[in-house]
Amino acid sequence: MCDIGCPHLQELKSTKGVELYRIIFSSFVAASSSVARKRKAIHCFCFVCKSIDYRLHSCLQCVYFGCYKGHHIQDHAKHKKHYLAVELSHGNILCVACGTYVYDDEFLNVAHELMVRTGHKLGMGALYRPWEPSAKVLELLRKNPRRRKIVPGVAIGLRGLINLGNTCFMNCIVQALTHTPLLRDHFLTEEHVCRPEDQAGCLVCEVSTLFQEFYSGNKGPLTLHRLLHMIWTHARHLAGYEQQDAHEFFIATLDVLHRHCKASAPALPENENSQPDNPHQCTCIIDTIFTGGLQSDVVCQACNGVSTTIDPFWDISLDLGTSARGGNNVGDEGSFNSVGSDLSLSGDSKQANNGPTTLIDCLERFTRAEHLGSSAKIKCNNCQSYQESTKQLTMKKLPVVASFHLKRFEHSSRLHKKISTYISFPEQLDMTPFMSSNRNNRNLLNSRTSSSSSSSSSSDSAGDWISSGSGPLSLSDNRYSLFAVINHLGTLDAGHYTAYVRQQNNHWFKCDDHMITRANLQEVLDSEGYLLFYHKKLMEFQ
Amino acid sequence: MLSPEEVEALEGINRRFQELMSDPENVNEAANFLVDDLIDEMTIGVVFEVHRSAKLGVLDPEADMSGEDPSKFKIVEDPGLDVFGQPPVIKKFQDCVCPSCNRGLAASRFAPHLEKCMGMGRNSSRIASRRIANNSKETSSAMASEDEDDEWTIGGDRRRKKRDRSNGNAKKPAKSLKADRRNGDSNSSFSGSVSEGLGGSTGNSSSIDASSAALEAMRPDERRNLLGSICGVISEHTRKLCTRSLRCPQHSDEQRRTLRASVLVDESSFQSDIQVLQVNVESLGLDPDDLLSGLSGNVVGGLGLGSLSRGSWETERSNASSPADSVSVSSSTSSKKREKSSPGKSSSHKKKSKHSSSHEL
Amino acid sequence: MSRRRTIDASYDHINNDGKEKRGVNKKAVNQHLTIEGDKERFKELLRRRLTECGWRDEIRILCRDAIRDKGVHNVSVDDIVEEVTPVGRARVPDSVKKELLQKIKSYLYEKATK
Repeated sequence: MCDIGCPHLQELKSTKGVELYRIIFSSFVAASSSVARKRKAIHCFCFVCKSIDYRLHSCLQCVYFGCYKGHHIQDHAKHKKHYLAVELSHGNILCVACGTYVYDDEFLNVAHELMVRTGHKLGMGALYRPWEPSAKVLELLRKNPRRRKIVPGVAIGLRGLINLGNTCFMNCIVQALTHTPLLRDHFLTEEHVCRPEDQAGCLVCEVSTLFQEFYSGNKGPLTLHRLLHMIWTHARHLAGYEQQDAHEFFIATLDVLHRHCKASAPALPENENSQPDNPHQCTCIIDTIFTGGLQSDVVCQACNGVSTTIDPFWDISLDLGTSARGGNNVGDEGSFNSVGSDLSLSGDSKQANNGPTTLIDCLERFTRAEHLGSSAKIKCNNCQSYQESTKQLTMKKLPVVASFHLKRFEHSSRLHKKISTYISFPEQLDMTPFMSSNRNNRNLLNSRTSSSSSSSSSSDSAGDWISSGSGPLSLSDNRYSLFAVINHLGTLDAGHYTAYVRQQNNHWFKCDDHMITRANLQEVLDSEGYLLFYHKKLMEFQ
Repeated sequence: MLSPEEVEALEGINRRFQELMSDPENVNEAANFLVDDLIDEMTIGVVFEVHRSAKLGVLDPEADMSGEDPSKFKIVEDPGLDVFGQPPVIKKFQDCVCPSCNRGLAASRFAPHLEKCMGMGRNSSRIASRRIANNSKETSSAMASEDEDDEWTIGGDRRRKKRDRSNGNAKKPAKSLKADRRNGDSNSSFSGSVSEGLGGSTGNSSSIDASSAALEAMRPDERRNLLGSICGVISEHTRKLCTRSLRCPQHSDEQRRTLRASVLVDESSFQSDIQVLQVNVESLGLDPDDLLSGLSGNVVGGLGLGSLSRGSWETERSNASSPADSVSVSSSTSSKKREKSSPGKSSSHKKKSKHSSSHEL
Repeated sequence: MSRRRTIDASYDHINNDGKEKRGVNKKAVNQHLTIEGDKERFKELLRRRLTECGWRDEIRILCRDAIRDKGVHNVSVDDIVEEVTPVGRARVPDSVKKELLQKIKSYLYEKATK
């Protein structure tokens, strides 16, 4: 059943095309330029009762605005036989003769195009579009009427994983990955196509199968023997029966998945800009979800010149501070750290002594400017000499999934132990204070207040409000919510990994190899925490 | 631009606005009605969306939620049981099949088995070192690392299996070099004692009766299978088949083709087999350069100052290509753990180039 | 200036209950927001919050039900709007409303003092 417009609309389209609609839309529905907005404000009101409301319509065939509630647009239509009108909130077309709103693909495309343009101009990114299934998808859905609904209290999406001999590290990582919402959605919907001869060794195929198993509704535990074999094959440095580190396994898994995704991706057209090896251009699902950009700014203390580099990262490893280790820190790493914190520019002497106790503390330490000390002078291109400098790390671009690794294991030649300090972490995390833009703004403000007194405001508020990420109208959103936690129990040499995962909002489960049991949020937040996985709350369309 | 009347109207609007907003009561009222207005506008927006979907006929798929009975999957809340209602102890033996040797075994013993099966772990390196000592006359270390290609053959032919086992140790030379660099590293231990059942020093060529006579004695399909996975060119001095990979640099494709032409019934399959198997090996990501580059990667990653050591004064993008490289850019302290992971990091960088360029012979 | 005041005053005769005045006020505020482009931004902010909290999905379901009840061919936008609008207003979470109110107020104050 497909209503495509109506005869009146078709007639208009065949005689006048979509140009008139386009003009009306870009002037009065999605006014993108400053002038257009002003015109809209001045001219758009009902010609009869002068009211402005969200159901104001513009006649499609002459210059007339009429409101809906007062029937003024309907009156005009009947009177002038101009049956078609555009409502100015969303650009939908009303046919008074047919008595309903009518939809036509060509008009809809124009509307979409103009909306996107306006969104960009106002610094809002592409505006939200509801999901519309393609013909192919529709066909599939009709042919397969059975639906599985995930409601609260249902165990779909949960599976136990058998321990294959100290493989709890792998089980936990797999639990975290299968409960990563965007990754799960990708694997359950995308068709990963491998050539038959490649399938045996393709990790993406294996993970795909794994996701299908997890959501199959079956209850028995799974064995990840094929996965283990594959990872050990492609990441030889990991292979070996001894207890492994979950964090290393995580990075290796992402790496192999990334490589295999690229390997099976369709060949891109060759152009002079494309570099097959350049990960900055990789569009595989792993990079889309996990890759962020870490900005490193080194400031020369002599000339204040800043040198900036941006490195891609998949996770952030956070130091737990020297005092957390306790005792003398004469070892190589220990001394470096304490020197750094003594001379740190943050001036927060409390932190230097007590060490971090929360995730936020760790992130603050991570992103604070550190004085590098006289023993580590860097050659400044500006000064052409070796100068003392400060270094600061900030997040240039945050990935969709932010993974944090608390460095609880010491592997230096002197120290060989586990740091078990409790670090509390929140369920909701706002990464705004740690963003590069924040640092840039702070610096801008500092330099501005010294020069001019007026605050940044102009009549075209578009650019300033959004790009600075501040002000009441900022639409930049850096909020993350926790969805998986991996914990390590025991000592460095003999330990066990378990994971907490969020299956649905507020439904947490503890995954201990093949035993999956219900947990509550407080339990999760009280746990020690070794690997923490946060998912971005708001997804922005490109 | 705007006409004079429009400009005047604009000013009028502004003025009225300013007047109004000077009274806080007006501000409150305005804010309230704006909120209501915006909500209503949102609501009608949703209405339009749904209406449009209905008219376009795309509303059906969502509407019908008659599906399976959700109670089938209901979570069990019993304290002694897991969410599926199962007790903690696994009753039956979970079995799995080893992808490497195709043997069935108990799941809980899989990891230690796989370790040996793939030729790693404490016991395997002793064998490997012995092999180097014995083979040192014939092979150089570069070639030894290329031997690793041998073991990744497809299929479960027993001959090849046996070869796998002993060839697996060929990896050891390069691996133990890596181990030396990684002191104090608890996760990998490559020193070790003798492992059981692994062959002697000349495992490479002796496990296959690789003379041309033996080749003829095989059935055609056995022959094809064998030649589908090894170089096969008969070496002059040993009179035996070269058991290195299909891309073995010692012999040319031409030689391989000639051999197959003379030995196999259907020679045309050689070319396409080469393609297929090359892809397979490549997709497994094995690269003789891998381990060597891993060594150099170690040096770079190990320096204390992280990104600073890479000349970060340049403002263009840094050289760290793979995110795996930058795992621990976090702090300016170096941790041994970071060193350990760098072979994997740099090697992944190298492996990427493998996919795009053809293998240089 | 005085001329304008007389014109405005003349309107007061027509509608003494102040409704007209409120309408004029509404219009002025709306217009100003439109000029600055901030109306679109507030809309986007609200859209995000309402999607996040599930309001959008709730309303969609209500609309679908309304269409199903009346039949796809017979139902009009007006019907659905009538049925759904009051519910829409009621179902917005207080926190979202509060946030939007507060942001609009501070925005208006800010603009007024320019």
